[in-house]
Amino acid sequence: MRSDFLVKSFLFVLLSVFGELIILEDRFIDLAMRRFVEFDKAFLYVLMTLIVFVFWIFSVRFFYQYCVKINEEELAKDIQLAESEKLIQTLSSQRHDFRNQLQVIKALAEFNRNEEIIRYIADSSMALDLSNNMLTHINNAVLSAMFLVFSTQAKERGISFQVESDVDFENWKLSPVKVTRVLGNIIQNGIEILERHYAEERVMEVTMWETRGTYCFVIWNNGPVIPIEIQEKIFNAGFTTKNSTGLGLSIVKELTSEMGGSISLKSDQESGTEFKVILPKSLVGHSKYNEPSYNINQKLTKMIAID
Amino acid sequence: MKLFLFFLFYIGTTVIYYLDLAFLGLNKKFSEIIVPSLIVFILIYTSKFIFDFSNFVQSVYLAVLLCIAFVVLYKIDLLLSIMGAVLSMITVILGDLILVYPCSVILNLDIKFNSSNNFSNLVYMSLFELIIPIITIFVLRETKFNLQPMNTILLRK
Repeated sequence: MRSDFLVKSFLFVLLSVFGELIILEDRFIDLAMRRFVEFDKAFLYVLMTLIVFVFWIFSVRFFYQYCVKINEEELAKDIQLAESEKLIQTLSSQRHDFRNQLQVIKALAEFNRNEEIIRYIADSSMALDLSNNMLTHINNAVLSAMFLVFSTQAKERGISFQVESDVDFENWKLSPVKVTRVLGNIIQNGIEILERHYAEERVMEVTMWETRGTYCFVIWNNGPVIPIEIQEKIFNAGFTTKNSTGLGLSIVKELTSEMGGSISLKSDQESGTEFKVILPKSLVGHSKYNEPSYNINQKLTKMIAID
Repeated sequence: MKLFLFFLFYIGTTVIYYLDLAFLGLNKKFSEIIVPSLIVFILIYTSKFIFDFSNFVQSVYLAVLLCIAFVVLYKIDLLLSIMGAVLSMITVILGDLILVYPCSVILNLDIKFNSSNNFSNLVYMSLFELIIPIITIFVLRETKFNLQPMNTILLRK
């Protein structure tokens, strides 16, 4: 994909060079005039220059697209690396946590405090169940790992993070990397905004459900309202309200389009901020699906809540 | 006069150097490119006097020099450097071509490209041939330089 742009750019570069050489070598134009056309030399010259100009525009355009692709791929690698590091960090902190709990159990066992041990284990297993629920109900390893990371992050920042899923991942055919990049970028932004937002209760909810032809994801938070003028530009590359690259949501938009889906944003005082991502289940005929209606009261068969 | 012409040619080389940077999406301050572009300029003009290159060979030589400079100074991928250098040279030549017939200003000034060594003609030509590259730099600044990470991505390789 990336090399396609380079090849196209190179092809147009060659055509431009060829055209320029023809123009610079007057005799080619003279020859053409004698044999094929009877135009004025200046006219032929202008025509050739215009053709070279068009070739040049194409070569620059494709080269620019090639650079944009490099840019995106490198950024994607950075994001994946950062996500992996976060996952490692989360697992290490959990390991540390379990070790502490084992030490408490060992100490209790040494003093034969069996009842306390049972109570303690029952208490800890509740915490364990939450992550277990996440891993069993969302039976997609990549997505559940991502949610686990974000739930830990949110918890550390005093944000209530809830995931509700009604998706059967058995028949999941979408690229987990792309979907985690799409959802991860939105959730990460939401957590960062909620972290700076002063409110009694800061909540982020991810709701997933499926219809016949689509998967729907709604990422909602009760953070500050995004003004209309920002909503219009929020998916533009380079647009940012914080000190960042401003590429996160533009990548989200591009990846969503690449998968044949759509993304929309709704933000107001009453209902909070909601990003809605709709992705077709299969890439074939993706442009013909209808947007399903979203009912917040829809009964979800599986629900995971992490506070 | 010769000194002034040299200065103009140096400005021309700097613009081409900056254009190459723009094609690659690298954002550099003008002060940072004074020395490298001066080195490229000296190499071009000393070799022109020593080897007496034709205009075509001179353009290829400049592209090669730019390519080497970018690989050595900024550690940029060779393929990207080649493409950037070739695109820069094509732009400059295209600028020259556009000025010869379609531009009525040049026709009215009665300047014929590559045909006169007259001082004023050389000054006009040196200035006019920079118009297209400078416009391109401005357009690229508005688009590619917005890709801020490009700078770090290309330079850290």
